[in-house]
Amino acid sequence: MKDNQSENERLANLLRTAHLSEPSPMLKERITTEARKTWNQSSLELSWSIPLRHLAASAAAAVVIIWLANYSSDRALGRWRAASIQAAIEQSADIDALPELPYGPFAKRLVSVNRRSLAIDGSSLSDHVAAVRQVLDEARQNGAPAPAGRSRLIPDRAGANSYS
Amino acid sequence: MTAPLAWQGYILDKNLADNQLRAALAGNDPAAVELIWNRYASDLLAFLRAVLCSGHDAEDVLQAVFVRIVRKRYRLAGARRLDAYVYRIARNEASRLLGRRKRDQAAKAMDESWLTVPENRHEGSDWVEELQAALARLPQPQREVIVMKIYRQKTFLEISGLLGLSQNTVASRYRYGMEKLRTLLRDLAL
Repeated sequence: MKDNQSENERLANLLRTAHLSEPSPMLKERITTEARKTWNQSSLELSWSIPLRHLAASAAAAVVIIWLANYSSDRALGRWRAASIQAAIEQSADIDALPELPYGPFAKRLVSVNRRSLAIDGSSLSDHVAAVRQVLDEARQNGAPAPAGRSRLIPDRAGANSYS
Repeated sequence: MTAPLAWQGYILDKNLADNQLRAALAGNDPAAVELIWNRYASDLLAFLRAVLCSGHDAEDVLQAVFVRIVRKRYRLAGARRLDAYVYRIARNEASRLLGRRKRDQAAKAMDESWLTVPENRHEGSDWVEELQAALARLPQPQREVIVMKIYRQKTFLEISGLLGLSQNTVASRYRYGMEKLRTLLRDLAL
């Protein structure tokens, strides 16, 4: 190991007896002149290309930001819609089951009615359709034409009063 | 105690010169060309001679390196290590020339003299030619390390930073290169 090191040292000393010459002044002149020429040329090119590049980069960044904003809002909205539909379906009409509201009993009632109207009630709809169908059948059996300009399905004022 | 102080001084000088050069590059100041020359020309020329084994080719490639540095000056100003970036440019330009040489199958310039005889030695230049021939027969990575270590007095740490290698790799390249040189130059003086 030591022998190797000492031999390496001797070899290094031998190598050092020769040397690499420094760059000559002529070479310096030639290269720096060429470099300065390139510098001036590229300065002219850069004077318009850098703002252009900045503009292109800004436009690309804006497109990416807008796309990301759209994407994230779509995702968030999609989740929210799904949740709200689920909530409407599962909405209970029971006023006692409503979450705590910071309003009086009237406001609570109003909210519950509104919620009930949002929920799709299949059975009441089919009842309504059956009732309409029954009225139409009766009308067809009686053969009495409906009064002009008025639907028989809609009770008149007197009829409406008779409900009470 | 003096060695760490000298090392710290070297680092401080290097950082100062780096900052000066970065400012000139970022400020589009053509004086940066002179600064780059003063800092890197000698080392780069030695490195290129080691890679190409040719003085003329090394000078031509050095010019190409400077042109490339000037074109990429804004990137250079933002580089983490200026010297490593400059050496990478030099290595790329040298590789390009080596590729061209291979493609053209041109006569290799290896017999051209790139090591010089000191003026105080009068034995003739035969032994220098033998040294040159032996160095030329080394693999390029080993030759790079040996030339930078012996002719530019770089430490393994500096060489590893410049070439982007680990210190161990640099040291082993040096060791293997020296072993090979020893066998090649056995008859010369050892």
